[in-house]
Amino acid sequence: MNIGGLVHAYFDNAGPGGVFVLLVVGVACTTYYLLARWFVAGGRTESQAVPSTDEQPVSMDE
Amino acid sequence: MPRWGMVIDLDKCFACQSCTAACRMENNTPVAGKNQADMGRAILWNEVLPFIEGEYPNIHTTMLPRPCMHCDNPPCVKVCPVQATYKNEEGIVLVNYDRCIGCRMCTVACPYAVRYFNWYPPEWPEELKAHLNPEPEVQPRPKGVVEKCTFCFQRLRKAREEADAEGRPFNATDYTPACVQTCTGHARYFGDLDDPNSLVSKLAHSPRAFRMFEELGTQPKVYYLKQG
Amino acid sequence: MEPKNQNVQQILAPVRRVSAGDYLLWGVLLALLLTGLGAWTWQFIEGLGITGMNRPVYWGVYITNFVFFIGLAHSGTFISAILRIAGQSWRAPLTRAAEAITLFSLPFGAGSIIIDMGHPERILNVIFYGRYQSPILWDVTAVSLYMLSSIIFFYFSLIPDIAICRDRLTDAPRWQRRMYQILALGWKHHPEQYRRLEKVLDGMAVFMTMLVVTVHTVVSWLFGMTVQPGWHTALIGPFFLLGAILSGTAAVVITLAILRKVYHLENVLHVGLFNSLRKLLITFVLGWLYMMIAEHLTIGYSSMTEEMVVLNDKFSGTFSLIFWSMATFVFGLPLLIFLFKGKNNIGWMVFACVLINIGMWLERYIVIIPTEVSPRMLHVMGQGHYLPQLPEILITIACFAGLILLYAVFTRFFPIVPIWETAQELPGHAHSQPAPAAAASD
Repeated sequence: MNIGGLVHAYFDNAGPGGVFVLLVVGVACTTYYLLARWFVAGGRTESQAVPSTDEQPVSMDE
Repeated sequence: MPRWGMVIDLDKCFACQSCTAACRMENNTPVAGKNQADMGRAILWNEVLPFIEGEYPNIHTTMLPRPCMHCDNPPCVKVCPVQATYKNEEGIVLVNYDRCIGCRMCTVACPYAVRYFNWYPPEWPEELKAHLNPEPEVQPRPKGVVEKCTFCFQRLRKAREEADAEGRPFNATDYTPACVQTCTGHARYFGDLDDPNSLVSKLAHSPRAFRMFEELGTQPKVYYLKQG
Repeated sequence: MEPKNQNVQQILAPVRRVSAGDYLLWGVLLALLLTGLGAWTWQFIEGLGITGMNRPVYWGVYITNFVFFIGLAHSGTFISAILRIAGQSWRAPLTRAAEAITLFSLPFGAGSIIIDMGHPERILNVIFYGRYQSPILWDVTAVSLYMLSSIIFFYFSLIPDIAICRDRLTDAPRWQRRMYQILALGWKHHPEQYRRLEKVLDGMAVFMTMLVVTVHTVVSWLFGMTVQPGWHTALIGPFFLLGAILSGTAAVVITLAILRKVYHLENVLHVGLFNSLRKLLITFVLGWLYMMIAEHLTIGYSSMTEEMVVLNDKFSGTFSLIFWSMATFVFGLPLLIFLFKGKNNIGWMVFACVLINIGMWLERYIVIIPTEVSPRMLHVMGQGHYLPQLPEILITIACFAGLILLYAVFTRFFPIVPIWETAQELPGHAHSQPAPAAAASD
């Protein structure tokens, strides 16, 4: 297989560059989505944390 | 496959500008008008530029006709993000006006300043409008795209069609760009650089031959023959 | 359990308290932004001819803005990512304020490129026909990934605070409560959530640091990859990067000072922060000087013909006024101010930082325009000239107005100081913070 030719074709042709951009952004989106799911889900398997009640919601408009 | 190139003999050029005029009529470059031209926005695929050395009275002027160099290693093609400018298999650097996004990276990258941008929609005085070249390759370009000298590649297509119609093989000498055809001093030569017997190829190997900014490695296919 | 932060009331106070003054400010900024949009429409209809650009000055103020805004965007990533890796905990109160600059200046950086295009409606050609040999594709990749990543990085660290807003701002309008509800992703302030969030942010910080270096280097390669005198130097990448971090950090100082004053955050954004930033800025200004000397000495000493034309034009020719103002604004005055006046004095710091940012804009201009004005064909083509025209000025003002508008609106809907990151105690583990009172308050 002609690796040099492939590399050259990648850089020199219209199209593959756009695919690469989409690929990079796509992979990033997926990764960030999975990361977000992972950290938001933290502690869900254990006993659910009780929402804080020791402090009443305070209005900021007084 | 021919590799088209040009040789310009600076000894023979007397800066009559007929190449510039012929180029305009052949390629439908718009008329910018005085104000725009003063701003540096005239579109001249071929320009005759004065190269002045020394100061009056010890002055020496070289007139330098400058078409596109059609580099073998074109810096403009490298930087185009969408391959709107490309080098075809015969070595001619062309622009796809329908694809150009108008980023002007190529104009900035070209060391020869041969690439022009359409700042406004193209315009002609009424009298000229009636005489636009009807060839499909040179239809007026819209605003916002880059254009440049194409070695009149519409003439290459026509020469091939003619040869076909006459039932004879196409010969490199059948194809002549407008500036070469019109040159009053016969200072311009055009042909296949890869054919060792062609006139351009012989002249390109003359000891007088040089190329502009050869040190940049762009390998232009326009050769000049030194004056004097 | 919510993070315990004694300043929570103070930090939340500006949120949603939209005053008449705010509406006035937003109105003015919006008007400026719309004027710029109008100018762009005008340019789209008429053609780029209405700008001052010509041949050989094919790139003008728009590209200058592109480089400048992308540079400004480096503020946030530098403060929150690089300093996070370096373990500089003093940065905590100003992370969000800095990242917001990143977030809101990136659209105007990327937008400037689109404004500059002759055919903006063909922008998708870059994807359909993308050709990776072109530095523009490198830019598209780097900037879009950077934009996405900074939005995400920003949002991730905002989630716990959105949850606090959701729980506390219960008498906000319905749509706003709904917005908090959705954006908080059901955050429960669980210790495990915080542990994982910190982990994700640490990891992303490393990635963002690599990205920030890549982005501005690639931006500089738009110029560096050509063979034009003044641009074709390997130093252009590091030089652009350092300039970006300098102008970004300076912008953080300006922003912090305004926030502190307008939103009465004196306790949270204490003077100590400004003193820390002052030390950083001194380093960057000196670094900038080093780059400046390295570049110009190399060019000047070798005295190659085309390079010298550009260099002389900067030093003593058409651009000498801009060049020397730039040197004074970026290096001369700020360094003196930082060294002798800046300590514990926010007013002087802000003044110096405004100078730096004016100077950095001029620097971008002085890198781009003189090279174009004196192309290699100079001896036959003659000197080019360039003067920005009305649409370019309007659009530039609109970009700045847009950045400030987005920022101002954001601060009224979200806490601009991270509550959880400055908390004295986080659920699950103690989160020790340097005492804000340590520094003298003014």
